[in-house]
Amino acid sequence: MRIIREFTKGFTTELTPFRLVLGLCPTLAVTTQADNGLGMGLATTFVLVCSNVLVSLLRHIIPQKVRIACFIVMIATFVVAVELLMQAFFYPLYQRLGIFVPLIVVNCIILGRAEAFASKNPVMYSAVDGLGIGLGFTLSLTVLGGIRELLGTGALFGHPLLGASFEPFGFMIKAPGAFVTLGILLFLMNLLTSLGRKRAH
Amino acid sequence: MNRVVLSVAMGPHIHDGSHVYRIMAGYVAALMPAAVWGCVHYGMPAVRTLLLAVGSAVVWEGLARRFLGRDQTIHDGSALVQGLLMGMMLPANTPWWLIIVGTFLMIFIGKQLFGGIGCYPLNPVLIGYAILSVSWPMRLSSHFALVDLTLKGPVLEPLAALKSYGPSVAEVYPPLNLLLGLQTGGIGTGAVGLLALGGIFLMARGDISWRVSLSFLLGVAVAASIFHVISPSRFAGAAFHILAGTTVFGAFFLASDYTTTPVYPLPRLIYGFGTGVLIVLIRNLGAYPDGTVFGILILNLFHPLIDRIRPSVVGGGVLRSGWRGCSPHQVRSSRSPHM
Repeated sequence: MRIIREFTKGFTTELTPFRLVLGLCPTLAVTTQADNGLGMGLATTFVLVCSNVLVSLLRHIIPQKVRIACFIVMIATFVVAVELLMQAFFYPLYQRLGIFVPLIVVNCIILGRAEAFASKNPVMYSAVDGLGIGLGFTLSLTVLGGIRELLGTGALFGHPLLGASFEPFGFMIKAPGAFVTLGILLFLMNLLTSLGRKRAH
Repeated sequence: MNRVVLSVAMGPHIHDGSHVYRIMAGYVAALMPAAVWGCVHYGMPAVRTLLLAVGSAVVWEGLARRFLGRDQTIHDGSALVQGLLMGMMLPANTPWWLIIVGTFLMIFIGKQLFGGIGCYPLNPVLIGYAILSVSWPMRLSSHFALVDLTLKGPVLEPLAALKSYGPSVAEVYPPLNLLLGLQTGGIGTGAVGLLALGGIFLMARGDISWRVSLSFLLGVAVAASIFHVISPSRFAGAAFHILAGTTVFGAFFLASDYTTTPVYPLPRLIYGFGTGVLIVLIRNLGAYPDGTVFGILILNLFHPLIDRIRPSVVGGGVLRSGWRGCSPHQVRSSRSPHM
């Protein structure tokens, strides 16, 4: 079934930060805690699904020459919507994410999916594609944020897990910790892929 | 038709049969007096810290090479020396888990992920120590860490005292005491006189470059003197900056690391001098009491660039200008279209 394939590719071959290595700016900047990563990922998913649907609906109307500008206008609309929704319902999270909520506009994953997928495919597939890619992004950010939060503060989603005798590894929640963790996760992903390929042979 | 295959190998082409472990044995011999002095000064906790650091560094090296599927380099002694350097920078009663995490960061992230000895862009010892000091500052600053031990001499680290109370504290630390190692700090970084002897031994043996180490000390002295002349009430003099903290240890054993220093003579002088100046800038104007670790790391980042500063080859310029002179018409026509 194509529709299932379009959904699952967001978790496997097109897992955004680890496979396509796209959208690294929010990936590195906001993942000091698991809930930051989850919130950022869900906000991006919302924008991604909405913009994919709208771009796909209008794909025969948008002139080829001005398509990028049109995509950006549509994406910006949804980002403003998500920003206002977060201010209304998740204000502490909105404050923690700060400038990175408005910066979803320039997240290359969203423009990339609009350009590469939604502008060429029917609405149904585009929505599923946006959902799969977005949830894959959310999963990656939550895992990265979870690792950094667990080692850097000894807690996960704000709940202390490692006990009082654990002395937090403060490097992990600082900026270089994000690069090192991302690098190690990329390394593990590539290792798993190459092991899987070796087994297939 | 016979085809002759001529392959051109990278230099060096003449080899005297020595090996990495010969150099590493020199390092160990040079570090030993200061390490032994540290063990006498701080007692059994220091022995434990040094042994654990060396042992865990060697074990991590072996495991990392095996895990990454590369040739085993556990026997070349580089991990042993790096473990020893790391252990000597730590306070005597560092907890065991911190030592093991530190040597893991040093060997795995600082060294082996980049390809091991000869390939790393930044000194692994400093990477490991910098990550530890950013994560657990209280464990690494000696006057907090050593609170359980009874010590001879002032308990406060000289540079931390300088940061808190200004240059008047220099009277509490007479130069002779600093030289003999009666100062609180890492296990092996305090005995400045013994470290300098070890450094001279390595330079005499030809294992480290005098250009890096001596220009490093010169950089510290020049920068500290300038600050001191401008405002003696705010900044300590050159002697204090050289004798206190990890300056001498850094000059002879950290900044001189082969992989992270420039190759050519003039770049080596620039590299050493720049590191020394940067260390004094961090100490005098920055938030950290001691800038040796970050100063050397920053200059490590630039060492490939510094290595491009070379005197021009004699006669090399003639060729280039002659080549440019080959097209005088173009130059003339572009300059004066009306002629």
